[in-house]
Amino acid sequence: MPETITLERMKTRACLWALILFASCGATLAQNDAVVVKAVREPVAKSYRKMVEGMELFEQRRDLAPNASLRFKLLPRRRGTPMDDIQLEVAADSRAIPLQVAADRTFAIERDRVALRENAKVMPNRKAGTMTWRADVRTPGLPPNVRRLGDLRLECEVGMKSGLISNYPAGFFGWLEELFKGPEFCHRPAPRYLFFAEQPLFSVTLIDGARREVLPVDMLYAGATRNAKWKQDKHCDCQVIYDHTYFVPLGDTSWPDDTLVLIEYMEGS
Amino acid sequence: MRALLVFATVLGGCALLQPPSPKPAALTSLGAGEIHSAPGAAEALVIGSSTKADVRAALGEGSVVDFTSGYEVWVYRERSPTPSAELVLLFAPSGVLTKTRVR
Repeated sequence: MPETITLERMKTRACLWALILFASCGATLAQNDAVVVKAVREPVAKSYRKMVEGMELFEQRRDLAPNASLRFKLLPRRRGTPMDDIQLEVAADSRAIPLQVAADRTFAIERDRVALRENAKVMPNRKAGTMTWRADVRTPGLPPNVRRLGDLRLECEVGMKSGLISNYPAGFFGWLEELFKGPEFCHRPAPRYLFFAEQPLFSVTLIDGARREVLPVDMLYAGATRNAKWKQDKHCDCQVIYDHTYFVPLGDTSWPDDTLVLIEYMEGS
Repeated sequence: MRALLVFATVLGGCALLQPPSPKPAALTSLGAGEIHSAPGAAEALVIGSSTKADVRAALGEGSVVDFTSGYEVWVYRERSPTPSAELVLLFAPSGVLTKTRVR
């Protein structure tokens, strides 16, 4: 008999917990509804606050790329995603600030106190999972197929700080999230932070004066040459542009920030 | 005479105890994607002319990464216990070799 009572109590408690959870989920949904762009269900969205923090980090770490400017970039993630005419806005509770997306799919954001206070989202009119995001740090005067290593180092740090990278399911790392996804990640000798070239690439060469080093093929194509199941990897945010991707030895300090990263495309000489 | 015979026997025994000399590189069997010399293999190929079938016949199967664009990257590595030289080939959607790289 006492066992039956205990069981009943447990059931009651379980129901109560379920009700509380259900209610809190409902509240969260209602709260989110307030900032959702109605044109798209389940839009891909990023935290405005985190992106502002990324901008602040860019200013703090300008020594990596003293002449560079910062923008953010949208990239296709799912096949068939239309990448033209993307509408983007900072969506807060009390206001929506439209952002201008350039032809190269880059955009800049401004600091807005109200949007920060209201924990706004940066939201395009595209569904979640259709696009991915990167910081775009460019020193002027270089052709598109030549990057500067200091620019890439800063791109990684800002990208991680801004929470732009979505190679893993949310919460995958739990309380270790900050350790794995913070800017410190970029200081590892060869972090697996994916960069995207403008076109499908064939090789990547580091050049520092007379020193030249062609990167091994394992550092291209998201490491597909060592992973026979690379096509099944749904967590990589590079699914449709594997052929544009490369890693660089960001944390290898034997390569100075002024090292040039020369990208040879598949097409052309 | 007897001393000579003993000497010859000892010498023969020593020869038997010697480890077998390594086979010439060309005679050792290679696994998939393995080659003896990346520069040597690259020299045997002709950009703009060699086809996938030609390369397969000359070097065997490589590690293949095929893209939706129709381009394919084939990778061969020198057989070595340490990080080894690699030969990377790019095939256009037509199936013809368009670029090579030895690293």
